[in-house]
Amino acid sequence: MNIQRKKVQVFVSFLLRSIMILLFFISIWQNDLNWVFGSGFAVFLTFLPMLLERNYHITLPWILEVLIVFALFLHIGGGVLSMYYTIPLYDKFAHFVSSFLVAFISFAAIYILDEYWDGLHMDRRAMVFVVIVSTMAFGVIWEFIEWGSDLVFGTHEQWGLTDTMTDLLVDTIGGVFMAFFGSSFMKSGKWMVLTKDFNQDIKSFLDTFRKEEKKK
Amino acid sequence: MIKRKQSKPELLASYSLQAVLIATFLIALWKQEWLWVIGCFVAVFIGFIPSLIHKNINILLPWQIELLIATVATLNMVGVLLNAYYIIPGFGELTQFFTSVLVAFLAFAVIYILHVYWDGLIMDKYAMAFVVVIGTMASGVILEFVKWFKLFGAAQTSVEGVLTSLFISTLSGILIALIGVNLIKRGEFDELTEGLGKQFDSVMKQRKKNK
Repeated sequence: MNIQRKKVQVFVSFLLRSIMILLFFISIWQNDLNWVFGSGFAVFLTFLPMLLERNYHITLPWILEVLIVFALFLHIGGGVLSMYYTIPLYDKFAHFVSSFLVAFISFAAIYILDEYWDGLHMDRRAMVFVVIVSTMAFGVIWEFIEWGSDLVFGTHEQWGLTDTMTDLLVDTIGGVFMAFFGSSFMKSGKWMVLTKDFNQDIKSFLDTFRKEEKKK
Repeated sequence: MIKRKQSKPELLASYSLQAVLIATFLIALWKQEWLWVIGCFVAVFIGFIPSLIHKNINILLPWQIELLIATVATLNMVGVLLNAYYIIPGFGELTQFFTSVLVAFLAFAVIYILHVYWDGLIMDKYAMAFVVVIGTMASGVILEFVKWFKLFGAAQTSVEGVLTSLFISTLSGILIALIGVNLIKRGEFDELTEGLGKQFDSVMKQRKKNK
């Protein structure tokens, strides 16, 4: 990877993580238990790429790592600092980034399964379709979680019909956007460049795993 | 494609579908629901015309799908044209369930046929089941968009209504995914999609020849 880009990635991730840790303490100070748990869990999630790298030698593509941290940062910032309620369209922007992230993960997962698993081989157009559909399904699950939270914890995550429908629409747009972006990247060969280290890591991880399975 | 003799359930499903579409067309005409008039006309046209023009061509859907289409069309017809959506409690949910079952079943059949007859897709049965579930959830979202934009006489009333519909879609998708995997394991899905698959195969071969 380009050293300059690596530095920028490390800096951005570090900055966002630091702010999230600060938000965690703010939520403790506010005595807001929901967000204490939420922000604590989000901070833990941002360290998952590092754990993957340390324990399994799998390096996520830099854009994926930044996207994960950014999406979590938006969600936690929106909740702890009430930006969901005070900044117009903040909720929609957070939805767009999250769905873009989900679509990116879907694309990467399908690509890896296509490369390394006999049970799946997909044409690029079929990949685009599955990425869009999986992002829409993720949007539905997100709405179910909000619905469940309102029913069980008495929160007010669902703001009404228009809000729910625009959320689903933004999720769909995020999926469509990433699916076509990923497809054109694949066509031009940029996807291979972007995920080169990641693919090699996955390949060596699977090779080791298969060898160990054979030994057993 | 050579026309083959249809079995009793196939004939029954096929006739019931055509009867429902014609009945819907007539009621829509009487109620002056022009979108439904056009929709039914197009459906009847698609169903009949190919066999009228080319006697040896017969687009044959699995009878289970034809029966499901007839059920969904009937429920929608009763719901919209006779106001059952507003009069009978739970009627909307019932229609949603059958619509989603139809979508999931069609999705499974299409994926399976593509897997068997197209070079561009090889898919394990569990991956198929997964795509069917998420595909049905996504189709539920599209249906909600249709209602949101008030197309085809549909309308949304509340956020709970949207979420209940999406929940029913998800359950239907899971149900058909489980049934589909079971049918593949027993080798029955092959029989079910054989006719449609062979038609798809001949179309693909024809396209290759023309190239």
